[in-house]
Amino acid sequence: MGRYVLRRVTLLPVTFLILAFVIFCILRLTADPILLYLDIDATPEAAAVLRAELHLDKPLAVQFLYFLAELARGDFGVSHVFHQPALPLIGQRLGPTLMLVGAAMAIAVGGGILLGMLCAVRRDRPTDFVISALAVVGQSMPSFWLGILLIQLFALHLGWLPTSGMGGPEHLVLPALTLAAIQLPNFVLVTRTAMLETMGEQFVVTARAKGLRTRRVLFRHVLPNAVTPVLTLLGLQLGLLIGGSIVTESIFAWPGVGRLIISSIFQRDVSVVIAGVFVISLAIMLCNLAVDLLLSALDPRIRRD
Amino acid sequence: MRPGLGSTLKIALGAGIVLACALMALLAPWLAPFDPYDQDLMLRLRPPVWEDRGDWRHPLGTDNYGRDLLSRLIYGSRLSILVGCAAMAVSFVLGSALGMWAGYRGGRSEQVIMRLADAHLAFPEILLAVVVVAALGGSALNLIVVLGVSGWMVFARVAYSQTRSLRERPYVEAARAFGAGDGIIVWQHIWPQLVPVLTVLATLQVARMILQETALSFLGLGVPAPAATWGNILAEGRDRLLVAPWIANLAGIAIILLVWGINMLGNGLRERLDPKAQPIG
Repeated sequence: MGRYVLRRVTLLPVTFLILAFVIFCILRLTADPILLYLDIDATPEAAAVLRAELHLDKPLAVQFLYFLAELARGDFGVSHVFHQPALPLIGQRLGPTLMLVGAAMAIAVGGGILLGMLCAVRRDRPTDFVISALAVVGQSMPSFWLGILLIQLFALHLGWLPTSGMGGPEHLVLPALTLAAIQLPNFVLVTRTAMLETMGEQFVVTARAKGLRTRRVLFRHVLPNAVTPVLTLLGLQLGLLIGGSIVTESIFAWPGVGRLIISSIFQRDVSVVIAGVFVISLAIMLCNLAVDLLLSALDPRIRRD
Repeated sequence: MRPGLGSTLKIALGAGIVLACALMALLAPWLAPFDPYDQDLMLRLRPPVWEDRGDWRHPLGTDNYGRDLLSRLIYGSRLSILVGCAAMAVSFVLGSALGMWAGYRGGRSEQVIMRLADAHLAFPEILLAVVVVAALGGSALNLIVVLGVSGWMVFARVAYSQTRSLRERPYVEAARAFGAGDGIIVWQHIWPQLVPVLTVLATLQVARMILQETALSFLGLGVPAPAATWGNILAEGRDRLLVAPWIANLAGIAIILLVWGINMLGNGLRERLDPKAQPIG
């Protein structure tokens, strides 16, 4: 266990270095980075001053080291829109994003496991057929259109829920449902498969033969053994869920990190964009680490690699 | 045993939808009744023909600038399909080459490539798209490169695991014993075995790429407006939801129909290839 944890944790800085390198390449090698920070009509002298200030007159390898040092200090530069350092700006928006992602994850995992179990128990009956078919249609559904449909139904026609923005808990319903809906079908289908596979195992037959009630067999014997593939999927989908929050926040004008990133792109506020991308990536890495460690604690087979 | 349709029906239905959309994209100049960029401010936000004020001149209505929505949707299929297929091709080539290399060579290249693939798998495409568009601006080419590079590991993982098991087969050993070089073995004995699996994967990936393309266009990170893409049309429709909900909804229907058709085709092909495979759709 100790060795697995150590190996898995050392992977984190390596991933981070690769990420920093890729972003560095895109920022510095594709165009003159000065253009990102200066107006078009800036004088050559101003450009030269800025170039020296940003260490752009040094060799690329040295520039990369400066870039890493700035990252380590959390210094992404100053937003020219808000006239504030970029990182705290992102930090202020982190709360709403975490709330949205957390709610969506709870709906997707909880709902997915319940519906998947229902499918497995009612295998090949109408319930199974309808839920499975809906799950397949859901996989083809663009999340932004689903969000817009929900707005039309619940906000514009019925007037039950607000269209956008953040306020009371009623503001969270539509964004969380929209974000969860992208992931829910996968959880339904994976739970269904895992449950069906486990239900065929010997120990389940034994438990039934002992005369245990169906509910007890399902929740105490089948579910714990079927949960590994679901957790593995969660690890893989967390990144997509966090990435999907960028789209969802834009649909519903939810004041989180994703919406700030998108609006910063249109205001050419590169430092905020980069800070946001790093924070989101770091969140994804930490979540994956947590899921991996949890999985290895639950299922010792994973530690052997 | 499994819920859902038989593989033949899936392939026929999926291929029908895909073919219809492909024809629509190819024949857009002849099919579209209007120029998709022609504005007519006297005929703004006309409803489609099935609503009270609709007429047959603009069967699906017009948008905020009086552009014919049917023509814009027909032309919009071009960019979505083009970007989806091109991005898939990029990740297909990149991913299968790296995956086969890792599977055939083993050792350090296997370690590096597959660890990289695992790490990359955790990151959503949209992050790379955000950085690229912030640095370079949006264009069809940037979109293809971003989506293509973001999808390599899906192909790499499949190519890798298949190659690794094929490498140990007796006929590969025999070929080596006959003195065949690595290039010949990979090209003549391993690659042909990978083609069917990778084809199925490629079909499903096109659907994913099209969804990604429309999502990025919707955010304004794709091909910039006024280009007619399904994502752009949907984004414009969002701002007119109260007065003209049909704009967003018709674009949404177009997207889901094509993506569903491709998914159906891909899943039908997969079941045909491997009858034991779990249906994902």
